[in-house]
Amino acid sequence: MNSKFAQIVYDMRHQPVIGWVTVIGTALSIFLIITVVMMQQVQVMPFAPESNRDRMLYGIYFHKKSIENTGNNDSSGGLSQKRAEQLYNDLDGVEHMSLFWPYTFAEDVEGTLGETFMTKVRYADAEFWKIFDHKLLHGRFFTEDEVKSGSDVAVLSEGTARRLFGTDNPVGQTYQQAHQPFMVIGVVANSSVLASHAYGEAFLPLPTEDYGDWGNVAAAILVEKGVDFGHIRDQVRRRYAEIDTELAAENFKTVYHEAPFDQETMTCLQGSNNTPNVADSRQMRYIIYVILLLVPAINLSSMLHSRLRRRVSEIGIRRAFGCTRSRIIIDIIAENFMVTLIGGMLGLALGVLFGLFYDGLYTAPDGIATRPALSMLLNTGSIAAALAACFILNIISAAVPAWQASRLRPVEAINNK
Amino acid sequence: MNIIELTDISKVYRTKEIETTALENVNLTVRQGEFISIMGPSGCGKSTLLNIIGLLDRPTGGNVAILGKDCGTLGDTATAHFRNENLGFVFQSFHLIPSLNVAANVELPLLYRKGVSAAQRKTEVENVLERLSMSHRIKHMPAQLSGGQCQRVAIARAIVGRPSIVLADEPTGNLDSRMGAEVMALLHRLNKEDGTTIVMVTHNEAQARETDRIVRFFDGRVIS
Amino acid sequence: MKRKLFTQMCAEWRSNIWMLAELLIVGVVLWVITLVLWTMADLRFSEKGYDTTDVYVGDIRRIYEDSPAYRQYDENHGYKTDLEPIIAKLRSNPYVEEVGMGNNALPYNYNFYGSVIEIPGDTAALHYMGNRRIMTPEVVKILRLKGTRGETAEQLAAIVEKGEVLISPCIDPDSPSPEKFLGREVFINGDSSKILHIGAVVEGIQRSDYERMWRGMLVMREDPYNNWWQQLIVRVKPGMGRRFIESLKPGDMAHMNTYIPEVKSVETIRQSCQLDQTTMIRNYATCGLFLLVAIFLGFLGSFWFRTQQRVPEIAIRKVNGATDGDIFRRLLSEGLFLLAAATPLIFAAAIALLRSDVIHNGYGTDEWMLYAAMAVALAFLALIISAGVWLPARKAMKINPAEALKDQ
Repeated sequence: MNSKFAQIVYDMRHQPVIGWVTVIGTALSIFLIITVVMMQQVQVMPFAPESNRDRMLYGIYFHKKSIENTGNNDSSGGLSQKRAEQLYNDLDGVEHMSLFWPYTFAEDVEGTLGETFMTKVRYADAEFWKIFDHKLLHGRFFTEDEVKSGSDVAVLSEGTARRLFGTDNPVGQTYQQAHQPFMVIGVVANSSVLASHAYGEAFLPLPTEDYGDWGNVAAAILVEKGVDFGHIRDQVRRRYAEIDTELAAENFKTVYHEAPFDQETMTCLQGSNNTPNVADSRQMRYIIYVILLLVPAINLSSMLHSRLRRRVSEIGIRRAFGCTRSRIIIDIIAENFMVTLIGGMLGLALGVLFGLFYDGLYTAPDGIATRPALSMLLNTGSIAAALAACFILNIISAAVPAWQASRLRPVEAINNK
Repeated sequence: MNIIELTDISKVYRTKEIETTALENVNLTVRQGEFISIMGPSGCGKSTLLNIIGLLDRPTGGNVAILGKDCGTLGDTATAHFRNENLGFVFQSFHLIPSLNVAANVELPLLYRKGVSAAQRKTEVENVLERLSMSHRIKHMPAQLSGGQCQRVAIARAIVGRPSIVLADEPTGNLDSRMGAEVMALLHRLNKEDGTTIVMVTHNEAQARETDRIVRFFDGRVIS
Repeated sequence: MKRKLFTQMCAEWRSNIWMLAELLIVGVVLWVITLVLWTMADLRFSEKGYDTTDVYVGDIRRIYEDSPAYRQYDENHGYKTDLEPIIAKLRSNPYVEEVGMGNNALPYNYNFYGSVIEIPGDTAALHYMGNRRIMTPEVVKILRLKGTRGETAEQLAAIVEKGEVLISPCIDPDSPSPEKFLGREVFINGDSSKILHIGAVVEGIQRSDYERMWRGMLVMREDPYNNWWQQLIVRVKPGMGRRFIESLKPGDMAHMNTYIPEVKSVETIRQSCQLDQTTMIRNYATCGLFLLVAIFLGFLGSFWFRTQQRVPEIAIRKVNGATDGDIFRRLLSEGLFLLAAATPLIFAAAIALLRSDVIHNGYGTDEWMLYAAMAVALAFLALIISAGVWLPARKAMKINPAEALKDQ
């Protein structure tokens, strides 16, 4: 280990250009890979208030069309409360199901300080608070009764509370939202817009809608631990079939798009009338990874080849003193791995710094640029990804040169012919 | 006992156009503890012979037995292990690894031997360098040593694994006469004290005469 | 000379094959990136039939009867009359040029209020589908709509004022030409009780700068399905946007039970609406840049090593009268030779990609752009290869023949 490190330092000093090309090439590659990984990670990894992302399913659309030969009506959109309940209520294997608005909307608010400003409002039912772990700082969440009766109560984020009232505990006070008075019953910690389903600056009880098929509601489903998503989808599919019988009288039928969607699927929705294609967006990511790994790997391979050409006689000597061919390969790959790791660490650091200080890399669905917390960027997942990328980069770049080096005939190698 | 037994060794290099015979029906036996020198003009095949004895190269015909073992049948990995256990090499141009310091260079053969702990390696290296009066240079890099010192480190590397045979290819060729004499004295000491068999290729008649036996080569054949 | 260069390159075939492979991958990816970026730039900067600079917009909100803030109207007033004083106040603002109202009138949102135009008695033959954009004649002027026959925004505004409908061409090949409807009586969405007139054909208002008009557009003064105005649209005098916002006093934008809580520039709406595309452009550009850097590093490293290996050779060339220029040209032609060798491979891979339909030509790219993008990608590669070779070449030129040969 020590001698490998000595070798790297020696190489860097004696062939600085080739050494730097190697390290910078690796760092750049790992930096970009880790950035792509992190951008994806932030969308699917669990963090408060969406700590249960790996157990979440969402039902958000409804799509129906005319039965063949009866017309060409084809309509789709967000769920109405009625359809949401029909499809997602009381499913087996579900811990909690919440009806909520899957996006926020801007409303003007005015508190005791007199400033009017726009705030991001989200409607939700009482179950919402059991699925999304918003940290309650003061007061309480709204209850099922309050939702049912349409109470004018609100849970505010800490930031909004302070801006409205100049205090962090305005529980019991009233503010105007769109010229409608609301009483603050609770204050929660500010959350990141990256928690796109749970985020909000003001939370209000879900109003009762009375539309037919479509509305603004979505169902957030927290699946019990160990229950397969397929089990939930099977039940939902049967419920679609039930709605089909209901719709048949009007010559309509539903179009099922593999709902409800898991967290990853929610990141690649393609409208309410298409089945989201996770495979496609994964494939795109894999192509990016392959390009980001392969191109620098070719460079690194050719740099390693150059470095090894300078060490041919050394390899011959090692062989003379009893080093086997496989040991040559292993040693070269191990040594190269250390170089890759140095570059990789640099790349990871760059990626984290970039994520922390560059606005606009991570964007919430409603167009707010934001910066994720350090823990979202630097965690076992991203470190593992960086290590894996280093390892793959190392193997594909070192395999051929190492194999070539191991095939050198000792006699010729010693004399560097 | 014959520690090295070469029977009817021949070595032919073939390229598309020409065929070069480097060795032709060479028979050579070396007894345990013998110090022999191989002499002959440039290109007569003596280095090729040394490489064949060192199992770095394979003959086109004939049989190589070292320590009574028929080495022609050994596979690549087995050959590597056999070299590691039984053979030590000293080269004309030292061939120290420039990126490693003296200790790491000497340690090399032990690194490729199974079951030698780092602590054991360290003691062995220190002992052998002590014996060759190179302890004070243990942390130096090869580039910081004189030619004579380099060759002493190379000898230390050749003997650290206690091989039965040391093969030396013109070990004094790149040294001035004083340093050359020092290196020769060292080889003789090893031969006497440890009973190490030494096969040395040399151009130096005087040095050759000090050894037990001189094998003279001409055009790929042993002439005396 | 060239033949000898070729022989030498063949001798280094191992290293050259790697560089060829690298050029191949990077060349193809760079081509795709160039194509995408170029197409998007082409869309972004193409001539639009409307202008949203200096345009501001505010959502119109209303206070309903259930709110304690609700104020009772007398018999002559209602929500509809609330807007008049607000507009009057805006019109008197020194920075304001024009004020109007619209529903789905502006680009930069992805709504599509599908509306089908039919001609009475000819329903099968002509079936035009468009995005319904409702606006007062002032908004026609604010957006500076353009008629395809050269009609000015003022003329178009007058047509809308009369209650006639403007429609736009689109690129949907199944859609009938809008000209066919000109001057004819039509009805929309199957409601043959309301007969309308198509007054002019105008350039369409896209939903975003990066989306072509796939379907058409209808501009109408009144919405047959919704008679509430949703947006107040203002054109300010050129560059006066900030002054305009600063000049708004609290209360200016509210009357009785109607208020506009926020006035935003269309530019900010555009930015957040097109975030996905700008992100995509940025990602593609970063990727392209990275690949170019990779090629640069690759050539820099490889040629550095080659130069090192060839010191004696270069020295001998110099002894025999080669100038620095000769040395540089030799190295450079070696690099460009590699690119030339890679070019047919890149072409072949590009064709294979097009055939395999991996590249979805979703933006409607013209065929000539496929070639042009290839030329651009190759030009970039040539440039970056020259840069990568330049440093080692400079080192080679500095070789002192006497010293180099002495070392040997």
